[in-house]
Amino acid sequence: MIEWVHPGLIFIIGALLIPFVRGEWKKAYLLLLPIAALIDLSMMSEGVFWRIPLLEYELVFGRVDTLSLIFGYIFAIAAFCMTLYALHVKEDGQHIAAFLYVGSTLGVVFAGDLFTLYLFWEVMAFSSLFLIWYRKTEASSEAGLRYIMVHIFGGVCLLAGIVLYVQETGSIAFPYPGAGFLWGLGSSYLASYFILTGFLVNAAALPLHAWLADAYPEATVTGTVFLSAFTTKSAIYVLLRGFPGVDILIWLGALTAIYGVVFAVMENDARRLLAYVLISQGGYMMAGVGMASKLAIDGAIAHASCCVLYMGLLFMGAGAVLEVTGRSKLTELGGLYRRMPATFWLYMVGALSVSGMPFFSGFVSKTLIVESAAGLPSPWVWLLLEGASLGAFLVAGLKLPYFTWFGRKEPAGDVYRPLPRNMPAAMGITASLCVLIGVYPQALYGMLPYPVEYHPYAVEHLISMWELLLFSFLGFILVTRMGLLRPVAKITLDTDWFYRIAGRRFIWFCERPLLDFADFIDKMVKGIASFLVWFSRNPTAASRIMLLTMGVVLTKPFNPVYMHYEADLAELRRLYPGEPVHRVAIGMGVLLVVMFFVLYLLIYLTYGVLWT
Amino acid sequence: MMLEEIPAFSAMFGFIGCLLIVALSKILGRWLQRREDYYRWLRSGSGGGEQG
Repeated sequence: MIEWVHPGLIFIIGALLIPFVRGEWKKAYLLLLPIAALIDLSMMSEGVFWRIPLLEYELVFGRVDTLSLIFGYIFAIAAFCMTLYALHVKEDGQHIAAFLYVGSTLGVVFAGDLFTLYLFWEVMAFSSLFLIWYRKTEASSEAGLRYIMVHIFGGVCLLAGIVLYVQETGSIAFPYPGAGFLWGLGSSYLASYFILTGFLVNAAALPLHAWLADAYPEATVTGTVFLSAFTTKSAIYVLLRGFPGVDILIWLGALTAIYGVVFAVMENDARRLLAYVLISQGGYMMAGVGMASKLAIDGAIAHASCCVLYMGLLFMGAGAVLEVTGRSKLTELGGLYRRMPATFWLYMVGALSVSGMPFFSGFVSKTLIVESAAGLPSPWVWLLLEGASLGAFLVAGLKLPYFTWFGRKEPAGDVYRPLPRNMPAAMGITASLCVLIGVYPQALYGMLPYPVEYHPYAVEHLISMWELLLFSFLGFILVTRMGLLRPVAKITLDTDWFYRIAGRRFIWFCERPLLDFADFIDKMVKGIASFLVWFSRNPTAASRIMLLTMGVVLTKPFNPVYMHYEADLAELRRLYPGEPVHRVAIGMGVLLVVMFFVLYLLIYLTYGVLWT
Repeated sequence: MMLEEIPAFSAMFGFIGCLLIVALSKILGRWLQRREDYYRWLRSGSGGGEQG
C-alpha cells in the first residue's frame, strides 16, 4: 500500500484546478501546493513505484532513491519560494504554466524508464514556453519561438536515441546511477550520442547554450525566476544518471563555465548577464558529472541544489528592478540604492553565494567540484573553474550591482511602480536558505549519496578564497577606473546567430533560387504537355504548320517565295485543328511506330555492348 | 597541487584572472558586438540574402 502520491501529480492536477479557486483563497491555494508536495516527499520511501504496463514494456513513474529525492526536495523548495515571488500575478495562465512546468520536472526526476522521461521532458519544454510568451512583447514571442524550436530539436535527438537504445537493448529502463549508458567511440554507441545531445541541449552546454541567453531574459519577471531553476538542473540530474564519468563532459563543462562569464562581462541586459552566469554555473556541474569521483558527484548534486536557490534569488533581484523601473539594461539603470536598498542587500546574498564567498551557499558546494578538479592530471580544468568562479564574482557580484544600484548620482528612471510585497518576502526566504546552507553545510551534505569527507571551513580554504575574491575586487576597481567595464548599449552575437541569420539565408535560398528553379521545371513540363495536346488534335496539319513555320523562318532572308508560305501558314493556323487528313495520318502513324521499334531495337542490341 | 604551493597564488590568480577575463571579453567584443537592433535591422534591410 502506497500512502503518498507522485509529487509531480500534485502540481499538475493542482495547476488545472487554479481557475476554480477565487479571490484571496487563490494565493493560499498556490502556496499550499508546494508545501503539500514537500510533505508528500518527506513521506516517500525508496523503491520503485507506480509501474504501468504498456504493450510489452513497463512504464515506471516513481523510481525513488537518494538522487531523485534530493532533486525532488530542492525543486519543491524552489517552487515554494518562486510561487511566493509570483503570488501577485493576476493571470491564472502564468500560474498554470509554472505549475505544469514544475510538475513535469518532478516527473522527469522520478521517471524510471525512458518513455516516461521523454513524456515529461516534452511537457516541460512546452509549459515553460508559456512563461516566455506571457511577457506579450514582440521580442518575447520571437524568442519563445526560437526557444521551442531548439527544444524540439533536443527532444527529437532524445527520442531518436531512445528508439535506437530500445532497439539495441530491448529495454526501456533508464539506467541506475553508477551504471549509465554505454559510452565509447564508434557507431555502436549512436544511441548514447543522441541521448547525450538531447540532455546537453537542456543543460545549455557549449555550443548548444544560446537558447538560454536568448529566451530567458525575454520571459516575464516571474517566469524567468522559474525558468532559471528547473530545465538546466533537471538536465544535470539526467546527466548524473545517464553519463557519469564521460570524459568530454569535464572539458565541455570547464569551457562552458569560463565562456559564460566572459560573455556576461560583455552583456548589457541585467537578466541576460545573469543568464550567462547561469550557463557558466551549469558548466561546473557538467564537469563534476564528467569527473565522477565520489566527491565530484556529491559536488555536482550539492552545487545544483545551491544553484537553484541563488540563481533564483539573483533573477528575483533583477526582476524586482525590472518590475519597479521597467528597465533591465545596465546603461539605463544606476543609482537605485536610495530607492531599493533592501532589494540590493538581498540580491547581494545571492551574488556572494554564486561567487563562492565563505558562509554563503556557493562556497560549500562549488569547492567540492573545484577540489576534485585539482586532482586531475591536467591543471587546466582546475584553472578554468577557478577563473569562472572569480568571473562570476566579477559580473554578478560587482558589475551588475554596481551599475544597477550605484554608478550614477541620480536614480535612473522617472516612473516607479510599487514593488509587490510578496517579492521581497520571497527573496528574504531564498536568501536565508542560501545563508543557512553556507553556515551549516551539514544540512546539505547529509542528504548527498556519498558521505562528504571534505571540510570547506578549513583555515587554508578560507584564506585562499578571501585572497582570491579580495584581489579580483581590486582588479574590478582597476578596470572600472579605466572604463573597461562600463556597459555599452550593444548586443553580443552568440551561437544563436547561426539559426537566426544562417537559418534565414537558408529560407531565402529555398524561397528564391530553389523555387525559381522549380517554377522553371514546372513551366517546361506544362509547355510540353500543352504542345502535345495541340499537336494531337490534328497531327498532320500540326506537322505541316511546323514545317511551314520552319520554311518561313529559314527562307525569309533569301527567297521571296516565303510570302507564299506565309499566306499558307496563316490560312492553316486559322483553320486549325481543321479536318484531320487520314490518308497521311496512317502513313504518319506507321512511321512513328517504326521509329519507335528501331529505337527499341537499337537499345536492345547495344545493351551490354556499348553501355550497361 | 603544485600551483597552490606558490605563495599568495590565490591573490595573484584573482587579480590577473580578473584582468584576463575583462581583456578577453574586450577582444571578443570588438568582433561580436553589434548594434542593439542588429537582427531587426538585418531583416528590414535588403530583405534576405544579405551579408552579415
